[in-house]
Amino acid sequence: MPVCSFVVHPKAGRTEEALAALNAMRGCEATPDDAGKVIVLVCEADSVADLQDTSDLMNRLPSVDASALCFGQIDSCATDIKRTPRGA
Amino acid sequence: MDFLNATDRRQFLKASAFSAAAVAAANVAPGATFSGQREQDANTDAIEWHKSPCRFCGVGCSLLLGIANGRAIAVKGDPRGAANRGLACVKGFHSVQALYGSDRLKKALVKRDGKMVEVPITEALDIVAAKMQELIGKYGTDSVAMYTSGQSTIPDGYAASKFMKGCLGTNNLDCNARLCMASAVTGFMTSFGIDEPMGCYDDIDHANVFVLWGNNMAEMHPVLFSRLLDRRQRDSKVTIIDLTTRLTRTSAAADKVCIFNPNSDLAIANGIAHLIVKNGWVDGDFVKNFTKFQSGRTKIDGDDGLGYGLGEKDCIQKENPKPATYEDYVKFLEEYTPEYVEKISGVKADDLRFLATQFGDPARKVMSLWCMGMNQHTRGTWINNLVYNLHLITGKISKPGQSPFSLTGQPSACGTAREVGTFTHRLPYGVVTDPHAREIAAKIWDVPLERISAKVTYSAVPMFRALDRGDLKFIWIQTTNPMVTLPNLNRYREGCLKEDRFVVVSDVYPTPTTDVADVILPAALWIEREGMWGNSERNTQHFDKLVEPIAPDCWPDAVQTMYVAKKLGFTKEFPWDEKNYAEGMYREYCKFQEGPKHGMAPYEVLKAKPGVKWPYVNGKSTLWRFNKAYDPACTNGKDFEFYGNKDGKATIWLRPYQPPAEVPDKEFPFWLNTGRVLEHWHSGSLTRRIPALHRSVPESYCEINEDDAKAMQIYDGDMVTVESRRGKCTLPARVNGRGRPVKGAVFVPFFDENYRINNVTLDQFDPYSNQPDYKKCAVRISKAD
Repeated sequence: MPVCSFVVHPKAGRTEEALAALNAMRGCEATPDDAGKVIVLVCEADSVADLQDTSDLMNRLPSVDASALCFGQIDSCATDIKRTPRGA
Repeated sequence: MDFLNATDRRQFLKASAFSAAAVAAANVAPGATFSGQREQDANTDAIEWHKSPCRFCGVGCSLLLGIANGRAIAVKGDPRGAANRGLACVKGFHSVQALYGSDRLKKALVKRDGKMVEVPITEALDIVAAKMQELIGKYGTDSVAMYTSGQSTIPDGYAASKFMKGCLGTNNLDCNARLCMASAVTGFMTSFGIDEPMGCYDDIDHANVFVLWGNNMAEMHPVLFSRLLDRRQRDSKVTIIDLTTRLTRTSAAADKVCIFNPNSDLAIANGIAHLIVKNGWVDGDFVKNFTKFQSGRTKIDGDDGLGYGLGEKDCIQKENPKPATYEDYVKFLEEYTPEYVEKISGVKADDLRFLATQFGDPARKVMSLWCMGMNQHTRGTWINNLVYNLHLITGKISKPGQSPFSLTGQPSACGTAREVGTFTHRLPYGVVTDPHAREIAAKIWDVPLERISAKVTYSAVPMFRALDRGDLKFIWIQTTNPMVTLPNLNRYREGCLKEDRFVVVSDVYPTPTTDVADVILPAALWIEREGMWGNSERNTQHFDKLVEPIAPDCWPDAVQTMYVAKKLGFTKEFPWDEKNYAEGMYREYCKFQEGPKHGMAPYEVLKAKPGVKWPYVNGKSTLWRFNKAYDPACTNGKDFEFYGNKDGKATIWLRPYQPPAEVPDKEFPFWLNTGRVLEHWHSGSLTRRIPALHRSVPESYCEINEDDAKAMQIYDGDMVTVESRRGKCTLPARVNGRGRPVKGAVFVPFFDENYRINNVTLDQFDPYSNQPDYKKCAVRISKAD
């Protein structure tokens, strides 16, 4: 299960609204800085696709101005990709 | 992380995630503190964090990699990183998983009786050395070639350069950086006489206008783009302008979007210059004191024409510069009226006026940023020159926040390809045609001067044409995947498979390129060995060997090259072993770059810091070159000195608009554009093996405009065939996805080896840089059965 974190910029004067909305999102914990200017959001997601959904959802919040991904946890397994046969 | 139970593991990761974001927050919002947050211990003795540049793009993010039990298990952005200041993108965060794909190449393979059989790597390298010796004896030195990479470390590239140019005496060495930033090099060289940007990423903190020239920065350089957004968030007067041929995530975030017709950026740049001149916005003093004017070759066809690189033996052409005057320049620009440019480009005349005001207003600090849109262009050198013109005529150059800036796509396209010199025309210092540069190389390498050839031979596409023709018999490909990335791919794949060609491939995973190999050499990947890379902003980063290679036979490319060189008798030239080669080669390489114009940081300094920019002079990096206030290499007493040119002046070029090599017609009515997506990097041989990235974008697709799709009754997910005069590719349609082409155009990402869109593209290239143009050719689209 990926664990990721974002720096989130709330819109001016809307930090409380952003915090409430972010904390309501699945797998998310939002923490404001002492001055209430930026928020750190830690998320647990099932996949990068879910993470992207979370990111999209977050960026559509009317109280959020912008966000940036800051940390990504690593799954231990690798993947087998579909390859065309040798020489094809 | 077997040593932690599931709950501890999650808590640890969440604490690490919080810490990384808190540090990043403090960087983007100075003074941000989180005293209310319970102190969480994100450190454990079981995990050690080590610095390394990211494995992927040319932004050069500094990462901290978590190592436990001999494996890389976690990633966070390094807050000390000059490029990323603690941030990273989704590829960077998952990057270490690329080390552990289940199909890593662990043993060398050689072709015997038509089948690939496993052998010890030393046996495979002995075969490589013997084959090279045999072919050189039979056909001469110019019958063998190496094709390396912008992902090669500095030692990898240095070993290849010294081996081919200093030992064998051939310039048959080129690299995949030819495909991604060669036009940026020729742009720099023709305008300034010296390569690489005058500014650095710190410009982002000072600029208030960002003009993105055909660059989907939000996906291709996401960390830098987040810095642009952060800059805008802190200053409401900051404007981001997206000049583009299709709507992207960058367009969605931009303040102004101008969609232009393919190739018409040449006309747009001249149109902006026209308005700057007409409105009296030229910085007369700067132009008079620090610039000169030149015109060059413009004829397209005929024996003396520039062409588009489509001739069988086309290779690097020489410019024939003619001096011009400011008055000549004004006259040249006369025809590029807003209305004329609108007709060519589709960009509204008023939008051109808006763009011109951004450059013309002395109060605005303008940063131009570009990447493949301008560089993968049959007139790539010209469009680089024309954007420099805009900065030169307004004096907006070599000052904080005022930078024309060519971004790169690979972690060491600059550090290795451009600086060490793994191009056919390059040496670690200077070019092979320059007797002085050859003398320096001969002296430092301690080889006979006459051994270093002055003959420029094959750049990337011509190299594979030579292999196809049989002029080349042998090619050693390292750390790149040309059987996915070359344009007009069918032709070059068939060339590799011809009977008497011998193809050696060093790589970490099976790819379509290893599929055509006679010998496959398993390579060490990234932090499985020591190395250095240099990014877009002249920043060199060192990384230690942090984990053992996945198997004992996975050797670094430099060690493989060194083994073959020694086998061929060049033991004196390679006095290092597998433990000290990286340091030894770097120290020797630094001798080529001594002095205030390109001095490299000492090895010890590089090891101690996340990265160091060159020129490194008296213990300090030069942030803005050519400006006396910042650059100790400026010695003529004037405020600016473009010292790459003997007269200290930068060149303003008179370069016209010219149409593309191939345009849509009745038979092939659509434009095809190709490129990358956020989740995958280049040919996908690494990122497709990272589960999270692969699941996010499991296959390539063809973006089609909604109206076109409707007219052809194509729905999202339908299979469509993209066909050109050269080949076809059938893949799923994407309608109203993240990228939206304009009517009459399609876009296909090239990362998926199962949908090789380069079977369709045209092997056209810029005549000076020889960089192919993957951004425009004519295709037809049909719904597949």
